[in-house]
Amino acid sequence: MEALEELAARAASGDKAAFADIYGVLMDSVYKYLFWNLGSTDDAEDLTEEVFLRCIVNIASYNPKRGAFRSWTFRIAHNILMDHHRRNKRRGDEPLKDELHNGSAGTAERVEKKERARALHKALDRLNAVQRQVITMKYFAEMNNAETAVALGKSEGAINAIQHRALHRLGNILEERGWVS
Amino acid sequence: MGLVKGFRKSNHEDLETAAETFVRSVDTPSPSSRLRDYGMQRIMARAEDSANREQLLKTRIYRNPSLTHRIVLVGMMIPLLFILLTSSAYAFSSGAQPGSTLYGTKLFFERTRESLTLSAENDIKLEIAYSDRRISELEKMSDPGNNQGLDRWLHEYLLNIDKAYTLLDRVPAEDAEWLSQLLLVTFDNQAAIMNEIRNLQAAPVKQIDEAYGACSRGRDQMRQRHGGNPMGGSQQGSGQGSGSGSEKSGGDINGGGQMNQGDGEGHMPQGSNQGPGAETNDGMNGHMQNKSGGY
Repeated sequence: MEALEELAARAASGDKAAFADIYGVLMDSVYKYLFWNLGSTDDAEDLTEEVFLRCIVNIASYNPKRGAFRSWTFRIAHNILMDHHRRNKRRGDEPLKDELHNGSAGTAERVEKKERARALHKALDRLNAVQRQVITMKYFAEMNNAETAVALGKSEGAINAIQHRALHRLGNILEERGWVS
Repeated sequence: MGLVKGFRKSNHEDLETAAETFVRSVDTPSPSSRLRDYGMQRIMARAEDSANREQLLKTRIYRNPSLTHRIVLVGMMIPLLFILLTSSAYAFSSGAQPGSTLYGTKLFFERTRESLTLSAENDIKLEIAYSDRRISELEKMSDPGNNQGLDRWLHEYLLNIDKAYTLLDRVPAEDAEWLSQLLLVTFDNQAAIMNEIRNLQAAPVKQIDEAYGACSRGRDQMRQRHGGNPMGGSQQGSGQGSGSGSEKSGGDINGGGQMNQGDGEGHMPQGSNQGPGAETNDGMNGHMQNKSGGY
């Protein structure tokens, strides 16, 4: 597989297959990032589609010198997420509950996974917006500090510090709820 | 709860590590096939739509202007329209004659200009100009038998000269001096022209006679201002100055001479002794009373 930047250059010149490759590589990460910020698979899927639509429409404006293509894509995802929050004024944790309850008839292992997901979602809800962005980008979108820094418009050092504070806070919240001890 | 809680904390770092381990242990629900299998097709289709829409917007000839643009546009149009309408009305009405529908508009502009004039001196000059304009109007409608609008014409003429007298008292003495001389010359000329017009008429026209009378009285008042003698101007004018105006009315001299007897103001004996100009000046008054047919 070629590097994302090379695929982006081909996609910018009209190569649909190159963009399909980009989609294959980044779709899952973008979706996870959005899911853990929205708490709803439907919303996450809708916004993932929006992210890639905006990517293909604006791909000609991508400049590799200004950062990795992954960072550029997540910057778009971040902006779309902020727009969505502004529109809705609140995060939708209700859909997550619905999704958890929908599958409640499964095995004990599935129930436990959903309980963990729900606990994490609630814990993430108690972080501030930037801490939540950093945690979801680093652990669900699997981005390194440099990519996260570019995507969020901060320095790497700041991302590192935010990450530590966020993890510490998450640890305390999870400890309060008995998930870590 | 029966859940696995296998994360232990020994210190600050352990708490972070435990949180990190917990986060990594959580599974994210998978996206549906809508996104996984058909997402790419949907995105490409929407991208094409978006490109077409953008192209359409670029080629669109007319875009609805914003509210601000509309307000600015209307704000600019109103004064422009006002200026256009006003100047058109002024242009069309400037040649209007008494009796025509635009004559009122012409007078409206005259009065507007008067009201915008701040000094009494300029007001007097304006009234003189307007009274001359009335005389021009009279000349244009002097076809025999065409008396349409003469009442209104007379009203406006009397108004113009009356205002001129009244305003003369409001200007400083040194300005009043030369302005009264200007009025005297104006009245001389106007009287001469009116006399000529009267000569063209088949029968006496009372509006012209009345205007002439007012003009003559005004002229006398101006003369009195200069020397206390109503004929003073004529006495000088017989040799120079206002004498030129008097000469124009030579056609009335004889008739006027006869009328002078009935003038009742005692001016004509002097005027008639001094020359034809003086006879002409007061001749009209006499004519008006005696209807001697001296046109």
